[in-house]
Amino acid sequence: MNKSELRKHMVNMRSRIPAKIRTEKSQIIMKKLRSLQAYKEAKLILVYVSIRSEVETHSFINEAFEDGKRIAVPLTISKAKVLLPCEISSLDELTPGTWGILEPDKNNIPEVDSKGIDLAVVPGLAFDSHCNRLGFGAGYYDRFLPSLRKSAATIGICFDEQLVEQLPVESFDVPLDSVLSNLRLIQAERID
Amino acid sequence: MRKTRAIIRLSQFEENIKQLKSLTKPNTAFMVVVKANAYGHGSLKIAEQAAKAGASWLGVALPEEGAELRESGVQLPILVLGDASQEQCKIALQHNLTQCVPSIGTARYLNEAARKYGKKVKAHLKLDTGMGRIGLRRIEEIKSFVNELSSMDGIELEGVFTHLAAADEADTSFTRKQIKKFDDMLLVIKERGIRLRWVHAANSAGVLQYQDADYNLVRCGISTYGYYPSNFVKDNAKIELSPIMQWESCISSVRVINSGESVSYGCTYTAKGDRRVAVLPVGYADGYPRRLSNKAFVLVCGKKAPIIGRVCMDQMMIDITDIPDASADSSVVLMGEQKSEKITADDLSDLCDTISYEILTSISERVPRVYQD
Repeated sequence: MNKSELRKHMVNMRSRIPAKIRTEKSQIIMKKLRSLQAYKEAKLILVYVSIRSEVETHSFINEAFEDGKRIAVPLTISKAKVLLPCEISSLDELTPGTWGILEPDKNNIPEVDSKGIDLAVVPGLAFDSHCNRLGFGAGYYDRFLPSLRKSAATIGICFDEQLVEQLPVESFDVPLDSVLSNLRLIQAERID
Repeated sequence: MRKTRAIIRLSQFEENIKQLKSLTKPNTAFMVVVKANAYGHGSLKIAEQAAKAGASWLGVALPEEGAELRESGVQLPILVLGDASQEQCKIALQHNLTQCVPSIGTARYLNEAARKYGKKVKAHLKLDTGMGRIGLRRIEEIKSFVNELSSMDGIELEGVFTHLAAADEADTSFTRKQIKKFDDMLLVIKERGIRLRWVHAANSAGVLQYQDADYNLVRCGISTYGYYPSNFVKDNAKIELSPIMQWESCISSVRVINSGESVSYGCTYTAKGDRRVAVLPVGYADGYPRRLSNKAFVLVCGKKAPIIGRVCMDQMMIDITDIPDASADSSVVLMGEQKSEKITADDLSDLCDTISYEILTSISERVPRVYQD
C-alpha cells in the first residue's frame, strides 16, 4: 500500500474503534507514558491536543500539570507552514481552531523556544517497528522535529492497531526515538 | 389581525436547541437552519432567537435569504447551503455570507466577483458523499479543485461539508458509508496541505442518531422547530423535542346541515343525519393541505372535529355535532395542543402522504406569525 492508501485505511480503522474502547486504550497508553524515565525527567513537554479518534491527551495534560510539568501544545500556522510550540497553563486557554483542534490564541501566541522542550509527544496515523511515522502528509512534524535538541526525547503514541511492520519511507521523513501503543513500547536503535 | 394565525413559542425553541446541544460533544458549534423562512416559522425572528439560544451559525438555502437576514441586522456567520449563480455570487459577497462551493464553476464565479469588488469571500467546499445532488463527487475532482483553488486568491476556503441522505432510517449502513467517504475525502484535502476551520456533516438526524457525524459543527433545522426527522428517530430519541408552532383559527359561523344535504365543492360530503357544521376562515391558500379534505380533523373545545367536504381556498367546514360547547368564535387548533388533545404536523402529513417539513413550509404568508416567549 502507498502512503495515501495506508492513511485511508488507518483513519477508517481508527474511527471504527468504539469510543469507549478508544478512551480505555488511551488511558493505558498515557499511564505507561507517565511511567517512562523520559517523562519523569522532562520539565517541558510538547503534546498535541487530541480530537475525534486520536489517542486522547486531555486527561494526560491535566495530570502532567499536577505532576508539576510545563506543557506546550502545537499551533500550526498554515500560511508559513510551520508548527509553533506554545506554552499553556491550562486547557481552558485554548479555543477551537483549524479542523476544530483546540489551539492557543493566534493573536497572542505564547511561543516557547523549541530548544527548551525535553519530551515531544507526537500523534500519527501509523508507526512502524523502526519508529517511522505516517502523518497526514502536510509535513508539519517532519519540519519541526529537527528543531528540537539532540537530547530531547520524541515519542509517537497510537493504538496498537496502528502499528505496522514497515512504513514506506522517504528522505524527508523524520523517525522518532520511540513509539508507545497500549500494548507495546518500541525504542529506535540509535547510532551514536 | 385575522383569527387564523400561527403562534410561535420562542422559549420552546430555546429548549429544543438546549436539548440538541446536549447530544453534541463540547466544542461542537451549532448551526440553526433558517432557510425557507425558518421552515415557515419566520426567519427574521427565529434568527434573532437562535443567537440568544447559543447558535453560532445560521444556514440558508439562497444568498437572497442570507441578504435579507443581514439587512435586518443579523450578525452571526451565515452559510448559504445551496449553490449560487454568477449573479448570486455577488449577493454573497456584498452581504458577507459564507458561500457553499459545490463545483469549480461556482468557485470561478465567486473568485471573479471577489476580484471585481476587491473583497475576499468566505466559502465552504461541498462534497457529495451519497446525496446525489450537489458537491464534488470523485477524488479526482477534489484533487483538481484544490489545484485550481491555490490560484484563487479571492476565496477564503474555511470549511468543508457534506449532507446525509438517510440518517433518519433504521438501517445505518448508507450513513456509515457516507461518513467513511467523507473521511476519505477529508484525507485527500489534508494531504494537499489545505487546512480548514469548519468540518460538518450532521443534520438533525445525524445529531439525534449518530455520534461520529458531528465533526466540529452541526446543522439542525427541523429538530429546532420541535419535530423529529422521522418516526424511527422519534421512537429512538434520547431527548424530548416539542413543536414551537401552534396553528390556530376560530369558528366563524355555525349552521345545521340536514340529513342528505351536501357540503362544499363537488358535494363530496353528504350528511348522514342532521349535523351541526362550523365554518373556519382558513383554506388551502393559507397552506392547509387540500388533500386533507374529508380526512383530517381539528381541535375545538379540547375535542377532535373532523373536516367535512372539500377544503376551499379560504375556508373549510368541520363537523361539531359531538361538541355541543362549540359555537361561533370558539378557538380552533389546526396544528398543536388543546386541553388533552393534540394534532401535529406529522399527524397531518401522515394523512396526505408527505412529511412535516412540507406542511410547515407551505403555510402561506397570509397567515400572520405571532411570537410569544
